[in-house]
Amino acid sequence: MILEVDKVVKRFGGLVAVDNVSFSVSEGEIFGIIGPNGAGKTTLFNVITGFYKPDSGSIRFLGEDITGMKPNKLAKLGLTRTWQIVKPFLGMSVLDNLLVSIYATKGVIYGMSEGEAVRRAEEILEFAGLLHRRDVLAEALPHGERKRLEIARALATEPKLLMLDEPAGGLTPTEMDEVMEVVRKVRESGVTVVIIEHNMRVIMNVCERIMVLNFGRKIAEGSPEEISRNEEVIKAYLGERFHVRS
Amino acid sequence: MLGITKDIVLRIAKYYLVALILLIPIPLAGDYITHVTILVMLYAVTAASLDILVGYTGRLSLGHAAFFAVGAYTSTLLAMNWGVSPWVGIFLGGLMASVFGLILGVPSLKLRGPYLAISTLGFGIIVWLMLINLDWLTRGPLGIPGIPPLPGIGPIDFRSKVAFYYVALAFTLISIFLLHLLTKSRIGKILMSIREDEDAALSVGVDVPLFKVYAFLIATFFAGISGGLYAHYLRYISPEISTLGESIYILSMTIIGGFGTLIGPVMGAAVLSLLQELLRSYLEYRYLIYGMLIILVMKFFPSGIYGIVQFILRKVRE
Repeated sequence: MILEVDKVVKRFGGLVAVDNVSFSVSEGEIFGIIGPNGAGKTTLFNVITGFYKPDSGSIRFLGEDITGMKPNKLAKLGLTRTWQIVKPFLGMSVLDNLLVSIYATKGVIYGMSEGEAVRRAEEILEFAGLLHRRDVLAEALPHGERKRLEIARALATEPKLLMLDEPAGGLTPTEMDEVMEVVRKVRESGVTVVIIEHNMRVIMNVCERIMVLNFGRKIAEGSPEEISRNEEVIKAYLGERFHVRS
Repeated sequence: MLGITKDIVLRIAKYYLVALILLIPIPLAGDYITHVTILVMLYAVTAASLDILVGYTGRLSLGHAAFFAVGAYTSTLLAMNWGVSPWVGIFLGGLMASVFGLILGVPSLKLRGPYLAISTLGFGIIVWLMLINLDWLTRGPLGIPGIPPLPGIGPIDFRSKVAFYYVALAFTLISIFLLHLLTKSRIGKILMSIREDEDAALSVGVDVPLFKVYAFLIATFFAGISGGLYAHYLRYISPEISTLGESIYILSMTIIGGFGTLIGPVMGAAVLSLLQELLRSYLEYRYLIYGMLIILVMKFFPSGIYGIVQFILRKVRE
């Protein structure tokens, strides 16, 4: 198991945002997290990636206890995330956006040689279909490309586990296909992916296993087929019988 | 190291060579021009150092004059009470300014935006009050006259404006060159990522608190050294150099010059100092004028004088 989340609880005052959630992700899979708005998906992400400390419970990454560890430490261990509302370094070039990841994880003072770092960044840009945008300021990119930059910048940390928070949110169908193509390629390159997504077409097609949250609690876990037939999930979230397209 | 390649060094060094050649003959223009240029250069380094905080790291500081003053008083007191050579004292003044930078920088790590601005403002005022009230050490509001000049080297006497000018010129070019390299280095890019988005920087592995502290250490060090040189040049200092007005004067240079460009603040220092010389008889209106200039620049030319110069150069080329 690359990620083991054990009975994690996160409260904000009286609100229990994440309520005793446990799950684990095995190496090489794409694991989906779905649930209605306010179900605690993003909070759970923030707890796993070190932005929030859980009130109780533990998180293990590659067998090591990482509960409460700072996000920058986690990135160096190989666990990183993207943001639902993308956070590109707007005033910096696309290439520099990726170089920051490489410097930060490989070392600022020595680390990779400059030529090697740039070559590595260019490889990832090509992978994400952004190489032609190399020297453009990130603020000049349209939304779809910003979403891919977000993933590319995370990949530049060379993660073993990549956590994607709604990578297809707010995209046109064409842009969505481009982003999901990148996600599939990421998995093929051997990176484990945990993904939060609202778009059912995306999540059902791309994930091997799905966990459903509602009011901070886990209500189901299983393959896309099992989830789409689960009565409780249908009641809480899907609304009507959802058929998996193959 | 730090991602600084020979290419970058050579490309930047070119400009500094040109600046050196242009600035070498200045003393020929007489004592007054030499004097004004020396002050412009000391302010230029201070404004450029502030740009590392404000322009590159996105940390607004309203107390930068305090660090200038800490450098000035440290070097002065070391020279007058313990006979430390100002050549060493100025450097120690820079280090002392960095210690003060640490004292402000570490507790204010988590503060953002206006909260950080207020804490830096408060810190500046604390330093000012200390300089006024620690009579036994600083002679309070009277200030310290009779500060020893830089000790001469062989036949060169640094009481002469011309001799001091070349010290200041070397110090200025080297300091701004180093800061310039820093902005092009890996540290510069890391600092910019913090400016753009702290959470995103954290998520890709940037040790945000550590680099914020670095930014404070570097910015305050250069401000402290400028302060030391200033003290041994004018040979009189008073708490006046650490007032809020002085901090805002330096910040005005950084903003009006164009923050986040490093060279902009240098231009800002030149333009505002000249303005101050031209408006000598209206000195009481200076903050009114700086305030209006800051508003106009932020509204119409957010990239400041640097942006305007670049715009003109581009037009000329076309």
